Amino acid sequence: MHEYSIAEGIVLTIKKLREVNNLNVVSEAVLSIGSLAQIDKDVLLELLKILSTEYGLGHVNFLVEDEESMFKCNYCGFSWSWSQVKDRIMRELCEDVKDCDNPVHFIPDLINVFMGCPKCGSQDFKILSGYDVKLISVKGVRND
Amino acid sequence: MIEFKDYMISDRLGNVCKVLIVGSGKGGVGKSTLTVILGLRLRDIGMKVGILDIDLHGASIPFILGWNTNTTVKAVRGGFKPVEVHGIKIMSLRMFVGDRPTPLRGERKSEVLKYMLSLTIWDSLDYLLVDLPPGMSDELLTLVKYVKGEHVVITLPTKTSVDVTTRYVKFLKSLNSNILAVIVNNLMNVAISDEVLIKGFQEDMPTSNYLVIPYIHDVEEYLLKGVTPKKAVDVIDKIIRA
Ligand SMILES: Nc1ncnc2c1ncn2[C@@H]1O[C@H](COP(=O)(O)OP(=O)(O)O)[C@@H](O)[C@H]1O
Ligand SMILES: [Mg+2]
Ligand SMILES: [Zn+2]
Repeated sequence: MHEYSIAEGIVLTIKKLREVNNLNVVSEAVLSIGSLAQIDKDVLLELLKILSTEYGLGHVNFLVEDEESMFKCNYCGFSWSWSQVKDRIMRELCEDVKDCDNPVHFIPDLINVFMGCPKCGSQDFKILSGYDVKLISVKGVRND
Repeated sequence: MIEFKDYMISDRLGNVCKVLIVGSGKGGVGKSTLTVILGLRLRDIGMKVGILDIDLHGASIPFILGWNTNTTVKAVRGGFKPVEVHGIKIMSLRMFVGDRPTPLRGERKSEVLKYMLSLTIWDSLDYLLVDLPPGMSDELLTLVKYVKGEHVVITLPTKTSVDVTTRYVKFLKSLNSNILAVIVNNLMNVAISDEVLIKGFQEDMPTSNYLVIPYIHDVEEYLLKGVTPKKAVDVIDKIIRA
């Protein structure tokens, strides 16, 4: 369900960019998805397709890059990745429900509330990469 | 990189008529209490009201209104619905984190707030009230960047509080923000010295503009039950008419 909001936000943004940059057609959009956001890529792509038609953008070729989420503890300096801790944190967030709606899926920045540094336990850590869905670039043909 | 949340925020606030931002710069002066009383009174007179609690470390609106903090937010098409308590729609970080502490540094806080702004589905509202944390940090800076609202400033009738709040008023003036009212919250039930207030505010606020909220015995009990305290009605109506 949350994928819908992300897709809508991206399509709204592309629409706005098309207006601002006077583009006739938008041909391609590149997205990057941080693993922390737990986005279902197939669902997102499907929704992007439906919504770009609904919002009058026509056919846009969406390219999606995966980005691993990396963290570094501000307290002890230890670094780790989402894939190293994912199973444990997801169990804590979702118990037995697979891919549940959880606060980190909605707002990845809340990871500090739900995870501690694997080495020292501190919740004070940086997200070095891959925390969000990002729209990296949009390509199109100008109107003139 | 293009920030898609930016484009969603104005879309999501499209059907909100008026935004009132309650702040002080100072903590413990009654910001959240005033926000809730304002909400209850506006509800009483038939307005559709929402409260956005952006005190990310000390979120207290759900607690004040007696909402069960163990229930969590549910995703709907396009975002999350606020919960409705005593006829007021509320959105707070408590709906995501429950009773956990929220140790978040600046940049994270801005992002969290942008998510709350871009994903909360308020539908149509006559008033959206925003409850600020103390200070002039990320929550305030990000809010005023994205949301154009009018400000209600609150202080205690003490020199220290007026001192901090005066600087908050200066900051708002630097943004050319509209300040609807300065509220002096007499929560310690003392004789209010005009001198403290006149001296404190004369540079930045016409002193005639301040309104006094009296000490309200058992105010927490009223708010928990969703009842507007009678003693506050006069002042609140003046703010609403301002
Ligand atoms: N006018 C008042 N009369 C009595 N108690 C008050 C009044 N205003 C606020 N309080 C109490 O003072 C405390 C601090 O208020 P609160 O609204 O939480 O401040 P803030 O949001 O500025 O930190 C709360 O316990 C609240 O119930
Ligand atoms: Mg408060
Ligand atoms: Zn550590």
